[in-house]
Amino acid sequence: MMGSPIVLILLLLFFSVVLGIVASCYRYDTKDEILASLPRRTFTFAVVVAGFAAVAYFLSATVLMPTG
Amino acid sequence: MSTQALAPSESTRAQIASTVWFSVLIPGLGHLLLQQKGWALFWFVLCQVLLVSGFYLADYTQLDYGSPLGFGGNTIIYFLIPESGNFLSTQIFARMYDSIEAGGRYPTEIPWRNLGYILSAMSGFFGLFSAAHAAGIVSRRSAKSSSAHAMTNPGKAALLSFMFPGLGHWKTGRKFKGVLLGTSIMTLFVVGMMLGDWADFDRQRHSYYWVGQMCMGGTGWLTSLLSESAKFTSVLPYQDAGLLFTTAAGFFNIVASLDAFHRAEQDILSTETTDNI
Repeated sequence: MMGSPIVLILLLLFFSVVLGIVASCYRYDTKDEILASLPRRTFTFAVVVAGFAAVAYFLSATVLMPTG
Repeated sequence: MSTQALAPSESTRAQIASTVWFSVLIPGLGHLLLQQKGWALFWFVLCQVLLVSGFYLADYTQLDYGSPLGFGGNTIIYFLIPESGNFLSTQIFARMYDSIEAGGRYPTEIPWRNLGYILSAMSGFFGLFSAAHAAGIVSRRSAKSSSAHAMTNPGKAALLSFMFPGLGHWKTGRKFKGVLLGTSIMTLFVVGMMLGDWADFDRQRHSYYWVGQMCMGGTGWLTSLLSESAKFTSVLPYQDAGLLFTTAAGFFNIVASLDAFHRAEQDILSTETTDNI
């Protein structure tokens, strides 16, 4: 069952934030450093996963579409 | 402070490595070699009692999820995750007993199966953290300054973070990190469980994801017990996302636990450096 695209994007953003927090906390130890690096890590992960999703969707709708 | 920081001396690292190997082989053995008899007895009894009771309650069906590696028809090593954290005892059990499934019984007939899985898994996890605790003893013992000896054992910090995300950071004075990690990892886990209608924490359904979920430590184990009777009542649109979230939360918890160990170890090493200036 396919979920709503909006909900899926929100779930991706939420997951990206948590991943960004864990990665930043692993890399840095102070509050300022962690908060400063958090947006970049969150954004990078979300964009990369969304990019892969877009490619997968494009391929599924074209060359990988089952025929006949 | 970034992760590019101080490192223990060569001799200390060598002692840590040997202590860790012995502790994973038999929980408590590393402590015994360090002349910590009380801790050795504690870890040994804890891990073995959990493993024996876990196998007994689940009728050894844990063995159905393992992979034997053999040579010439003989099983040499039996990988069973996460129980293999208590390595030697798991190997002995794998040779002495067979799963009840071999007798044609279905695992769902066993009433305490889930509790048994949790207990035996706890044995393996605690076996690994006994190694971290022993390594922490080596780190503190190798420090020359008395203030370093008063620092939190890195293994204890790691275990606290494992049992509840962020608790080890809180214990070592990193309250912001503790709250941030604890809140975010717990929220990810709870949202994941909600997306799976609290029914997607089952070793039989997906044993490898279950290992990741069990990495949530104390909170995960409790959730598994409380949600044991939950069943799927409908097809869920975001069940896969939920499974991903809960499993990833477990792995994030391991990362947080490793970080707690590393930071506590850095505290000891930096105190040593400061005291020598």
